[in-house]
Amino acid sequence: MERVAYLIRRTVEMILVVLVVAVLNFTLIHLAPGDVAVYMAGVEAGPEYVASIRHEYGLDLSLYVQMGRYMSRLLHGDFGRSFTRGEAVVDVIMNRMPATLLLMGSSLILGAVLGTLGGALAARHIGSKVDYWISGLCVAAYSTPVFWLGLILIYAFSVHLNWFPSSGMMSFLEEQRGIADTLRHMALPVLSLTVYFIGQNIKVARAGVAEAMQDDFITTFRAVGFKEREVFLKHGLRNALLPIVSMTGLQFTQLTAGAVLTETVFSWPGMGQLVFQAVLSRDYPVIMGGYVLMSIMVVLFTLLVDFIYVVLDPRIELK
Amino acid sequence: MKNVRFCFIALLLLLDVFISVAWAQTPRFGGTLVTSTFGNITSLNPIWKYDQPAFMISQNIYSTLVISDWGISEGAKPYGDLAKSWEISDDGLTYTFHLYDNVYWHDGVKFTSADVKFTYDTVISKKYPLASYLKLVKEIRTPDEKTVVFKLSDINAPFLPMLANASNWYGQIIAKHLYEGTDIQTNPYNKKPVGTGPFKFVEWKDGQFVTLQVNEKYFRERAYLDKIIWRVYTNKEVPQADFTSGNLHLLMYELIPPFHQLKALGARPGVKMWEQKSIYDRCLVFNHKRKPFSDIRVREAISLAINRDEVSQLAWAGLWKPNYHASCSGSPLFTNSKVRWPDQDLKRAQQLLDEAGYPPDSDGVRLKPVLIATDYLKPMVEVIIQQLKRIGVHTKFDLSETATWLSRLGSGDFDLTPYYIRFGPDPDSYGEHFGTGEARNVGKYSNATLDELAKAGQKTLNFSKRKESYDKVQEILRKDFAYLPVTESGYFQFSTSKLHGVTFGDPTSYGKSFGWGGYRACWLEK
Repeated sequence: MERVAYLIRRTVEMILVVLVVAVLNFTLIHLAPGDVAVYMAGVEAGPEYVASIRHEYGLDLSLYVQMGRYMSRLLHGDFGRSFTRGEAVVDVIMNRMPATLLLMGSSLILGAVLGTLGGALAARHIGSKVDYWISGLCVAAYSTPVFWLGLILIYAFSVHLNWFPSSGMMSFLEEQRGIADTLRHMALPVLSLTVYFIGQNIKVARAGVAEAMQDDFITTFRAVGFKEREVFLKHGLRNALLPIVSMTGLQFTQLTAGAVLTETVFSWPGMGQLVFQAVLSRDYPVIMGGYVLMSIMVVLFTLLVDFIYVVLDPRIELK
Repeated sequence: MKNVRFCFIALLLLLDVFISVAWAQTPRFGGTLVTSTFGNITSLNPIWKYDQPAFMISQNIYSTLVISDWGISEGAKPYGDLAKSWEISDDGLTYTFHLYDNVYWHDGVKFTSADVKFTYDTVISKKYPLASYLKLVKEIRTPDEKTVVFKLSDINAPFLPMLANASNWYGQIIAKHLYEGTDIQTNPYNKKPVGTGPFKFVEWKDGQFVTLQVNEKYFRERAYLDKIIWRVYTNKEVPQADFTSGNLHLLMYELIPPFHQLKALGARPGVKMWEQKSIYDRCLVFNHKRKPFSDIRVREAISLAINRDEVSQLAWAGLWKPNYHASCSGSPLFTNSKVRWPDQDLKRAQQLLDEAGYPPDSDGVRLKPVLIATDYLKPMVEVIIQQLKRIGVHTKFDLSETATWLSRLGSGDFDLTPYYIRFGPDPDSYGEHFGTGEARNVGKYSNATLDELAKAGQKTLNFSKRKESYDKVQEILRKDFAYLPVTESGYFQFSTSKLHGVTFGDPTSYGKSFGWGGYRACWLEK
């Protein structure tokens, strides 16, 4: 019963958060300089066409009326129509969503797994050369800007070695497409996005495991004769997973920002690239739709993280 | 005997070289061109909005009634695409176009004059961008399937050249049988276009690439290439890397490196640098509605402060030459070469500012005008800012992206801005850029005599009379220091040296490419 009440409370909170995000986005985007009608019309168009665009998209109405209409449509699940594409925003975004989820999901999982393993390895050999090397590399990893790393990877692995494609998500030729082709295209963008999170997770995992290995219950396990390997893997590492899970929850929000950069550098056809281009062309419905959907994803992921916490640590309850 | 043998071998070698060269210059059918485009393509229906990346592709899918390509920079006139020929009535009010007979849409349906009428009627009724060039069209008639008649309400000399020019962007003919009775902007064929052009649509992977293949049933000779792939890039560094590593045949002009690196890139083995003169200049526009530039003495002072050679060298690596005229070398037909802006004269410039009531303060600063620009024009602006400081004009530089810059131009929220004036393909552009109240007159310049002359030039088809009008227009622009021409402009593209007939650069494509982005004349060596 408590869990149902918790779920209802969180759902209401989520809806409120998304609505606040929508209102804030609408206000900020419309306060930004730049006339979408002038941009859409292009420099060669006459004032009649500019005026007709303003009228057609309701841009000649007051900001309050525009916001009221937008929020009313949003509550009915209607994200509007893209100014530049003429298509429903939901369709435009849903076409791009799988690419972003693939990129973000792969990066999150890879970052968590490799980060945990690296952290555990450093903690296992704490104070040794292995620890110094891993810690040093992880500082370098999370100090490296995503876009810079992306360009370096392209120059190294695409231009010089010609191992991986520099951009896109699939080959031009249909006969070359498939899972292997997608994996080849994913390699560089996923790597550039993941490196930062590996560095971050190594630090967290190292601290978590090192702390857990100092706990009294670990000493007890050792005293009663459990093998060191078993103590480390079953008890030390498991206790270090909690901070990794909470870190992954936070990283999801960072990933949405990182995905914009990575998708732009690698011309990856995801939501990040779409929203970035929409900002440049002032395609308000796409920008707002993209942000609202991203905020929904973030709050859902936060909820998921809460549930994973309960599974990993039975002492925690959902209230 | 030895000499005879030597001569024979030398002759054979020479013959071999000659044959190789001749062979290399003979257009070859076949091959796939991998080219590039900058920014997301949002719709492949070319008529309803401005979409630069999409135009380059749609020009190869659709045909136009009449078209112009970069041959206009050498004085070439518009030519027919779907129109086989046309005649203009003596009173200049009726244009009759005779269409090719053997034209089919890519879905097999026959193209007729009804498609032309449907496209233009839609453009006019929906006020789509091309409508600006069809303002005086009173009626479009289709007496038969092969004839289209435009009735104009008044003489409009720029009608044909401007229609051909704008058709590069918005004037491509769409299929009546696919669009009639539908919402043009949401029609599903905007994503799987059906045209009558030299290439057929194959695939569009949003944000990644677009593929076209040759139309074997094209109403002219088929294009040389079998296939064209446009890779979509959202940054400039990666396509440059892809080009140098051989993964791209053509690096289009929007993706090229900064000017100072162009010559080095062009000098790489296997790389060809294409240069294309433009009908646009690069200039500085004053806001005539605001002080201090409402004062002609201040405008003249700014003109005298500019060193065009320095701008050309520092901003454009000498590749765009200084321009002193109210025209440019890519549009020579109506240039009045007697009209010339003065050379740099800092002493006189400072005198003029003193006379205008702007003496230097204790820091040597006379004026602090707001200068707005986009990244695209930034190199020129950075040099000009330094030059203006020499006469005590310290600009407040606002750099913004295109949408904001365009808005500020429209609302007049600036003192100075870099700009690009179009001088062709018809001199009516003087009226567009400097006529009172005209949309592209961003500086809000106004001169009644110029308005009359521009109008007179528009209302006669007589070349000499038009030339006379526009010569005087240029004199007025110079006399008023209405704006400040700074440099010429042009386009640079890079391709593998095996690519020929490149639009934007290769004169062999003039008259054959059917648009600025048309690849019909392109061919690839093996």
